[in-house]
Amino acid sequence: MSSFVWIKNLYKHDPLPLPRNLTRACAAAISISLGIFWYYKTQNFTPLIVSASVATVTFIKPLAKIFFYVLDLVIFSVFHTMTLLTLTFVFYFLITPLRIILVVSKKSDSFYRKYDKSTIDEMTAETYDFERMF
Amino acid sequence: MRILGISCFYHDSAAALLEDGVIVAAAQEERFSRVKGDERFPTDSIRFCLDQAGISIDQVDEIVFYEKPLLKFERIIETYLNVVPAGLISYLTAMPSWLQKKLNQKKLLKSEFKKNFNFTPAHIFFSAHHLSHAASAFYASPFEKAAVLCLDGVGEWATTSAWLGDGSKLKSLWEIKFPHSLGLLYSTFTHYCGFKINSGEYKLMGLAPFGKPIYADLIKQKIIRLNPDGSYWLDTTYFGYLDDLVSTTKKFEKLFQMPTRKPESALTDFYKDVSASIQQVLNEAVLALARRLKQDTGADSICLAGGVALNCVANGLLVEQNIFEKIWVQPAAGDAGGALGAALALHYLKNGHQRIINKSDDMQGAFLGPDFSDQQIENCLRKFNLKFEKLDEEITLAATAKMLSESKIVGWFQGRMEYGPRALGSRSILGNPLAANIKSNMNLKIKFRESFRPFAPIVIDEQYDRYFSLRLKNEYMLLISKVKDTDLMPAITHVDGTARVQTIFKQKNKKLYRLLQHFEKLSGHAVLINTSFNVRSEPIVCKPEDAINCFLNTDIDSVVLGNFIVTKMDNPQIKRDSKWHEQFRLD
Repeated sequence: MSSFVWIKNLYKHDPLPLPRNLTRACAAAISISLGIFWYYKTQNFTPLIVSASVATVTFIKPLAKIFFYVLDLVIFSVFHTMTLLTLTFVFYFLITPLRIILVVSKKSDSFYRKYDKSTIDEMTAETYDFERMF
Repeated sequence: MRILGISCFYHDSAAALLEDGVIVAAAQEERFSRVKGDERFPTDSIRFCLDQAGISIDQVDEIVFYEKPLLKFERIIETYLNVVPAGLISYLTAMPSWLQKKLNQKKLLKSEFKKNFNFTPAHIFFSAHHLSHAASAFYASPFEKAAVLCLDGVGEWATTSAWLGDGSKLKSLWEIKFPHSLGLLYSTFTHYCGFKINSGEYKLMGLAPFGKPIYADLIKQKIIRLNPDGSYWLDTTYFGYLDDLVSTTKKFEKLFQMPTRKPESALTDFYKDVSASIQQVLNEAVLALARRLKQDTGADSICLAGGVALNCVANGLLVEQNIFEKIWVQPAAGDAGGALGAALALHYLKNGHQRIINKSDDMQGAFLGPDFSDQQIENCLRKFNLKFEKLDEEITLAATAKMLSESKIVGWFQGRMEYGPRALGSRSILGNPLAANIKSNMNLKIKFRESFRPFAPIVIDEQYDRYFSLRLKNEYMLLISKVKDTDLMPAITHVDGTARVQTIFKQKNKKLYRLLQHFEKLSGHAVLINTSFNVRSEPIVCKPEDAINCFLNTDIDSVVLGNFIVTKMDNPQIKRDSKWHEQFRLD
């Protein structure tokens, strides 16, 4: 299936029975709220960036469609995967400006947590779950 | 209950088979495929494991993979997110294979089983990467209770992990996560000194004694911070592994004011000093982690696994420092050992079986690979049109000892192949440590490798104390010991007066033990040089054909396969293919 058809199909199915713009606004608001909440909890910019990216994609559907269409034509034949295009798009067309803004405004100098004393973490219980791939 | 453990799709793929908790078979795919560090699905290793057990694939009860692919993918994605806009090339290199294949690893594994065995497993289990390492170290060890330290480059997120093993339980204590990694730190310096990552680390370790650790303080000031609690922190701006295809950055080169050494170029004192420095830093970091683990657990014994645990220098120092009374290192400490560890973890942790402790460990001397019958060996020799002698075992041993005492170099192909990176006396090249120039002869004419590389000695258990001073003996060649008389055997004594000694116990490897005794009668010393039966960049030989090819195309004087002896002298028709070893890409 062409990636364009795939993304078109994706947009056909709104998850909530609400007007599309309202759905998008709600999704964006939830995404940004979660991102801000997580940023204050962890002081890590990554969730904030991800949530902002999700929100941005939600709002610029027509733009996204054009991007995907062009990228599909140019790159799809090389990589044969729509997911790759999506991730490339998100990473390098949306996150880059956000990251530059964050760094320029000195909100971020590093995306990795810098520990003052230790890098030692507790392990999670998932370590012993053999059923999961994660 | 039969459990098949698999590791693959990164490097050193392998398979291991457990039957009611007993290790039936384990082997690395590279030995069969003849591709060094082969990362492909381990079809031949699995086939061997099944043949060894005399079963078919549908008689395997459970299959387990050695790591959790989605967690690994999360780490990769988060890394790219963190370094955007850098990392585009690395991203575009890595993503296609992840998205097309690796991401849906359960499906991929099932399709490989279907393709190669015409069998689709109903279920595949997944063990965490460091849990696999920890299980391979603890459950195979001879200890009832032990602290477990896993050190490697990276699996999913963890790069260092600490555990407490007690009976059948293995409790996680703490971990240090990517990007802070001792394995990646050492690999970066391996690359900087002109060696290949994931295979050249032991060269860096061998080079270190030639230098002075004059950059150790600089490394600790700028690159790695060793915290008082045993943890460490890396300044990631010096490393390229987050966003680039090479490990070092310009900032890294600027710090040392020297470029990355080109492979095969001259080894100057600078790179020797750098290797000495990073080895010292690694030693300090490992000792600090061990002290922390001792404090946390109070255990008398420690088990080690993960690629960094193959660093014999750090291991030897750990013994010297007496932090733990006993130490046991999994001989297949790298990712190949993950196949065994995943199977052991499933057996004890998921299935809840009770562990029966084997006082001499469960690894059976690491002789877990394939062996070959006299008939198979003879067929092979006839195929190559070689003149050979088949003798009684004692006569074979006496004849081999005589050749060695005459400074001949002997290929030694016996019994089951080793599991793990070391040749421990089944697929070895043996030499006389008393012979003049044997080190350079073996390095340059047999192994076609760098002249600085040291050779390891083997010694019988009872004679160990005569030559070596480290208080613990090791049958897996994983500890460095000081040599008592450094002038006696220069070929096995490294420039710093140490040796990577392997102790041969009669009950574990009787034939090699008897050979050493025969050699002692002739030379007065029960010590031989033992190096892997291969040339540089070639996987260690597996089948008789591999051994014969190596024998024919190098300056090895004779080869002993079982009780068959083949000598160059008896086969003057042999014509060496001078380009044979060029088929192996330099590591």
